[in-house]
Amino acid sequence: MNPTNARHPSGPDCTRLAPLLPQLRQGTLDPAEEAAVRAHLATCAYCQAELATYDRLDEQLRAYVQRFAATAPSADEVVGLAIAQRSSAHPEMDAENHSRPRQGRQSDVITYGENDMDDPSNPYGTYDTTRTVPYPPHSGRQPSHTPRRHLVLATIAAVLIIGLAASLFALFARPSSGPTHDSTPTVAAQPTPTVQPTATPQPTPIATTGIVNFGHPCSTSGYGITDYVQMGDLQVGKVRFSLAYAANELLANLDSSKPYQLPDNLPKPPNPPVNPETSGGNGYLFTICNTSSTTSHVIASVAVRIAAFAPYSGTLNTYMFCDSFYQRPYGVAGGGCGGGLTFDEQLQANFLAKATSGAQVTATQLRTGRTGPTGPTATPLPIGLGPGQMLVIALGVTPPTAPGTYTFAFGLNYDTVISAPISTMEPTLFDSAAVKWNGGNCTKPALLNQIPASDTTGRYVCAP
Amino acid sequence: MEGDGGIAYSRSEIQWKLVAMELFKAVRITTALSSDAFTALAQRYTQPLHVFLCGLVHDPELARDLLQETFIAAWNAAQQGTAPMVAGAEEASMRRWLYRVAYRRAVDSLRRRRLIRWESLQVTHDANESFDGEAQRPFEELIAESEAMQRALASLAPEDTACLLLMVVQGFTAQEAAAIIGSSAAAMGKRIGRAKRRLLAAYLAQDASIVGGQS
Repeated sequence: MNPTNARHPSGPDCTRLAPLLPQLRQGTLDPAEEAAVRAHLATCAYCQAELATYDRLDEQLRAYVQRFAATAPSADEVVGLAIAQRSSAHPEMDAENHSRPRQGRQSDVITYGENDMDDPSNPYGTYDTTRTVPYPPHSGRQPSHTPRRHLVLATIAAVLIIGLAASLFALFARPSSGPTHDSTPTVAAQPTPTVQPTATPQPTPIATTGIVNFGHPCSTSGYGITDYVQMGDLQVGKVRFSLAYAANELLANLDSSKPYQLPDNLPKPPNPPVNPETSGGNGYLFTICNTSSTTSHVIASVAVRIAAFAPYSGTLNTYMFCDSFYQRPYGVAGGGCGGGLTFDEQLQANFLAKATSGAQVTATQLRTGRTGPTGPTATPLPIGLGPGQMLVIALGVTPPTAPGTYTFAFGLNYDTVISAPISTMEPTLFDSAAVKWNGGNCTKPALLNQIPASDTTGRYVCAP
Repeated sequence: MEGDGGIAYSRSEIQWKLVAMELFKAVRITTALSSDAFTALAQRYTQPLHVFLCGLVHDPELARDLLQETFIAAWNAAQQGTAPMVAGAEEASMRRWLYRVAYRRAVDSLRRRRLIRWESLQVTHDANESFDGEAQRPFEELIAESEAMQRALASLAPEDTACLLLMVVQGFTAQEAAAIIGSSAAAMGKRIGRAKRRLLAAYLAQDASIVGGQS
């Protein structure tokens, strides 16, 4: 990143307005200040360069912290430990359906005053919601007693023991003339017979680019997938949304000149899901676990078919829960969603613009990744999946352009089997012309004036 | 009825208080967040919170501990039916609550000790696989930029760092970030401007010393 170009002389307004530039992208300037800055920017090359520098700084900051995403634990691990921690600290409460008053143990309890930020009468903190949080005192990394540490140590010990056993086996039991395991990474063992009535044999074995043989044990499966389809040795999780952030469908006849008060009963998750973010290899996720203890299998590719389609006509109004809403006295509130995705394979299935029911495409590879801080990075499909190993596949779908409700069916091509059915997603409404309502749009005076000044509980959204 | 401690209650007052306590417990049970809802919440925010904590403490291992503590606190709150970790609450409220707890944990940790960090290059190297554009860039350049940004961030006050991470990276509004940090929205506007200026100065100093100011 280059510093601001000093060759641009700063004009008389720069001294006053340049210090406000870092706030421009954050929406923290008042309207008069923002208008003055934008007007000045239109004619001042120095400030344009200054703003560009801050934009690059923002990008660098985002890129820096996003690199840590790969080191994040799985949500299942976090939840499991949190629940286990509470169960061990409060067995009496769990046993009695949490009906007993809280009684923290003095020896291992730290008290925090975490204020309820959502108390409208007290947004910044005097509401007494002091909580007693049982967890080991955290006084530095050395004395950390979290169960995760124990798990890590146990895992390292297990890996060392397995490694030692493997070394001994390789030393004493390997045939002298046979190839070593490492020398044939791309050869997958023959698959076991599978029962797939719709499967069609493929004529030749699939050449793989690599094999997953460690670092992805099926025991780490999770990702919120609880329904599986068994395909011989392969236990395939049914495809589900992942970080898709589908929107809710609002009433079709909304008056765009008026604020709309969001009902409290908007379905979560949205039903039907509307315009999920399914580009860039994101939106859907599933796992494949090889349950065999001896046999590897080749995961070749993923197919997506439009199982059903119903066209949609008319105006589609939507609200996505990650978007803001307007609520007095706070103004524009809520909104914002984070999230990152870990995966081994990231694919995208692109339908032709005019495709309709019955069309099927094979997803193309976008990139590879890794599903944990200690696991290996996968190679692109086709890939060999070793015994007891798991593969996480993130998948995006580019729907056809016709607005309507699409039902996507997913299939797996593996070993000599093609299009083995995995699962069918719920009907999903796609319409790129949807009108997105949010709270930010309500700041226009004509709309803002229609929100009653006395209403401090209603959540309003407005059309663009 | 006279009490020994100087506070007197009548029998009916005591009965009403007991009834109120039972009602309170009943309400708390019915509003407790289910484990499924809690799991869904964790699935959505584990990684963003981890990234946020890493940006604050610059240590993935410590960040994982703090993240775990945050979700332990969240699960306790959920089981106790403590707002906003209750059924039917706005997810935005839960999100702010999680970030506020995580922020406090991180600040407490930073205050308790000066970190002597073991810096791993593994993070930059591993994550490189996931960035289309960056995969083509020289590894040394990524390392240098990462180190420059880390040192620049570490030179800021935790409140400034949190302000940047919340508003620039996580997309919180000034009002939300203020509620998380414990400030006012007006102060957050000034703080984000000041934090960006300081970060830029520190980053450019690091950038120049490491990569010679290359873009």
